[in-house]
Amino acid sequence: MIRGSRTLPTAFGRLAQAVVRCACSPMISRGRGRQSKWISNLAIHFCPTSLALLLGVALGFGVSIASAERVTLWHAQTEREARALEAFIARYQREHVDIQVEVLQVPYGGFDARLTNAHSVGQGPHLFLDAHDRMRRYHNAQMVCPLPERETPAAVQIGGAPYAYPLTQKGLVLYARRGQALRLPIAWDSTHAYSVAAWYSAWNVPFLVRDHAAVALGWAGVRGVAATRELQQLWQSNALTHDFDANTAKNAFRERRIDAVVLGTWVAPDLLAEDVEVRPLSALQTNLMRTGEGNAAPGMLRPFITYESVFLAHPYCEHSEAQALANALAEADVWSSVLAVPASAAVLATVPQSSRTRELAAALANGIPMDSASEVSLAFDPLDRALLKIARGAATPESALREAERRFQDLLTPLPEAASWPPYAAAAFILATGLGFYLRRKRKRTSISGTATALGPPRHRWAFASPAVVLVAATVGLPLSYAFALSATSGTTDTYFVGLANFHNILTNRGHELWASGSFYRVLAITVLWTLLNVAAHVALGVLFAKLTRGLAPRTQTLAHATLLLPWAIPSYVSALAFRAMFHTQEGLINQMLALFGASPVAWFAHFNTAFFANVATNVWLGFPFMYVAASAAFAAVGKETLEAAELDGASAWRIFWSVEWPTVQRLLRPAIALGTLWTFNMFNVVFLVSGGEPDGETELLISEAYRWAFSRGAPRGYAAAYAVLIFALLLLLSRLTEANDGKQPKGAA
Amino acid sequence: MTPHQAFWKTPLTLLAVVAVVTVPVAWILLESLRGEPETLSLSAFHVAWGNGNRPIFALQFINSLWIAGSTTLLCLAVAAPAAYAMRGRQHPLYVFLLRSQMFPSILASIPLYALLDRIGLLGTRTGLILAYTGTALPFAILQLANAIESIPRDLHEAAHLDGAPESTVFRQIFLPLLRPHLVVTGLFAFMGAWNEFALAATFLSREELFTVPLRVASFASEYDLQLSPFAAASILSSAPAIALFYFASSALTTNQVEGAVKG
Repeated sequence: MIRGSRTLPTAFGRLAQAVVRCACSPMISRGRGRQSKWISNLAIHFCPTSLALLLGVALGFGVSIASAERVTLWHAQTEREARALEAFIARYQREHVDIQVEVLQVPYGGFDARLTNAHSVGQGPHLFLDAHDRMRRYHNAQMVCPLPERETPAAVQIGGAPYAYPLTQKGLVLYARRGQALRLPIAWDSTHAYSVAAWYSAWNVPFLVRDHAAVALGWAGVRGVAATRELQQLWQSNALTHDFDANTAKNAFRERRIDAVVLGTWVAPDLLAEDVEVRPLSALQTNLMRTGEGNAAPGMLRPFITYESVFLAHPYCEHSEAQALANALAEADVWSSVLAVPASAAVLATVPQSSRTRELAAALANGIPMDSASEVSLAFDPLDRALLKIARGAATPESALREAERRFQDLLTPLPEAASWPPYAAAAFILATGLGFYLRRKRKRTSISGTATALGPPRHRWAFASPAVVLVAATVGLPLSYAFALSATSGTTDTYFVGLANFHNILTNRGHELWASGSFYRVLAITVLWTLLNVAAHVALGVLFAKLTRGLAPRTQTLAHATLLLPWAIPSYVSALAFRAMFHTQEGLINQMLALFGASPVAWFAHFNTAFFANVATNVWLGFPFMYVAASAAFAAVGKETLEAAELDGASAWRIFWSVEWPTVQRLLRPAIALGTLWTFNMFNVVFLVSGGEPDGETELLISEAYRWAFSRGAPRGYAAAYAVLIFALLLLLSRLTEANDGKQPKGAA
Repeated sequence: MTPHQAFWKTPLTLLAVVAVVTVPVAWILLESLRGEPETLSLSAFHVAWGNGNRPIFALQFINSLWIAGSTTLLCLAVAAPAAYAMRGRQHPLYVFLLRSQMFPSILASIPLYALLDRIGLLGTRTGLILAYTGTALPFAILQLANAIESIPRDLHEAAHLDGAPESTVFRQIFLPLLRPHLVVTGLFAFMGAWNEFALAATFLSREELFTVPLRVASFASEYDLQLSPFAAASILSSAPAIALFYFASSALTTNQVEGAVKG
């Protein structure tokens, strides 16, 4: 055994071993009677200390602290705004010593899921802050209560009662150099529906059109298409940018590469230098709108206004301390110091005249408060996708907007009808019984020819494994059965049984063409391609690197290992965001390197091939270390005697690799490949963070599609659960097929 | 151990490969050092660390260490006997665990949340440790079971013919053989817990209890990504993991089982 330079790993190993040994020591001292009964076996072999450890952890620390009069407030504000809020709460506490306000800053990305989860078990906050346009959704899910009467804009009322108190208002304004005439192009994130809504307001095109119960996209109407054509001309004449996202625009303006940007009031702290002035969007009217001609824009450029509001959460409808705090928040000037514009005129009047917050408020004055109808949030995604397509020249305004309308209607599809459960129960019972008999027979057959195992009767083995079984059942089994149950229900607040309707809807693509963009089959094909490419690349790179580092001097080898494992040590969401930034069209490292060779910048996420490539490149980088480790271990298992014999015979290096090493390596790699395939198939971070499904949802995988159905399309949860169950069933089928295939081959000798 | 070197021209190829692999890391490092205007500066690290009087990052760092460390130890203590008990890939538990990896876990947070609430562990570090242990277990058991299967069958039989009780066989024969695999498995459990975001964001409700990934994510919001502090926080968060990998890297690829058997 060679041990020389491996003291540290050895120390780790000793530690790990000591933990396991210590956890199981009582078992060791008493483990004798092999013929004793089942119960005593359980006691002996159960690994009591590890169970005690588990129980101790579970009970010892689980004491919750109850406190007297508490008001909890959740928010997802950024650092600056969170500090201002905390300062206000500290002041409020000094005046109200009898109650305790607990503020929680929920990290970005966790707010929706957190609020929904907490609400479902009655652990939600008393108050929370969010944008007012989510009000209807919260109201429909019975998560919020009406607040006491006070003067509020109509946008936050339902049936005359306020369901939110607006605190600050946000919207788009024009940032320009002070005292200079506007020069084109203007940087405007104009392929996002929220951002470009002002354009349509100038053409008097409503966002949504209602006709009795039916809702349609206003922009997809005749006037909307005409307005879009005008917008397209601005893009083509390069008066407006279409490929600048908000961050790029911000940087370009700060670095003086561009003189005017349309951005939200929320970036004011980063942009408002001395020589920068804020103007309403209508200041652009003369530059962008054709005037005096036949089809000039009739109206004004008016941005959407979003109220950052405080909500009173169900079931604290009558909680007077919470109501009082909500009122205090609405009456106080909490955020003007960080340049957030107060929502109410009375509060704005208390802001000093010299404050730049007043400039921002004036620029927002002609904005239109956003409609809080629940359909509004569903309209953005289809419209964004349509605008991007038009800007890239991939579709005409007519066809793209028609597609947007279809997608929007698709999201509004009514819930599946309730099904009666007895027939399903009967079918499930018959299936379960049949399966039970089948498994019994199969077990009988195998137990005759089954190999003798070292651990004696099977019950012993369960005893050894019991702590693991308990934990796995709770954290893996429970979610699994939950999703199965959920997939047969509507998954709404007043959930009901729908049988297989969710599966039927997915598999028939809700009545649309089966191969249409975003259909289950199409996404499945992409996912299969994704999995094949990634796993092939992982295995190739893993084996190559393992071969390369084999036989290096120990010190070099350690260094090589550490470097090659680097992608593994960095959190995958960090790497994914870094790759997204590297593939950025204007500022990304990759395009800058291409520019060194004289190539023009590539819009990586504008085409399927390049976007898919970016995803695959990211995931190959993230995932090859796993195969590298597995392959290194596999190479090490190739007997040295065999290798030496082959070398003595004068075999070439290629020959040795293919004939001696590869057969062993590929056999030992199989479990790793099987696991890697599963993980790649269900890889969520990369597609979600790198391409985000662009272009037009074409690079979406089954897993990210399921996520979007669950959390961002306002679809009932049952539909998403059915998606997850289908993924599970597919992989199960796949693995059964490959196992059956493997079974035919003779097993290699160990 | 040197005969293959000539053919693969190892050092040069390796250097090129290493360069490509490290580009994204180098880029993150550069971003974190970017000051305003274009200078090298450590200001992003100051922002990431938390300004002045609130040592919040340090606290969250300790939280992460405690949570990931406990997860690792608990996971090993539970997984090793289970893997020993299964002894092979035909065991129903093995099959179930492998199947469980096929399920997309994005919907798992909902029932787990309700479960932790029921046993009063919601919003505690302990609750998170249990959840992480549970999610790390399937892979840990699979890995250790594979390792055990690679131990020659003669060894099992020889031990049992000697009449040694089950527990002695496990402790004195299998544990030493499993040592490098325990390191690797532990490393996996640690990394999983160290980098996990979604469950932590959903379960924890006080900033003092937050873990490092939540801090890193706080520099990315719906509207903008503060790239420099984000990169700086990423580097601070990856440092312990990188150190661990460096120390454990040779254990990752050695095969002490073979050595012991032949030894």
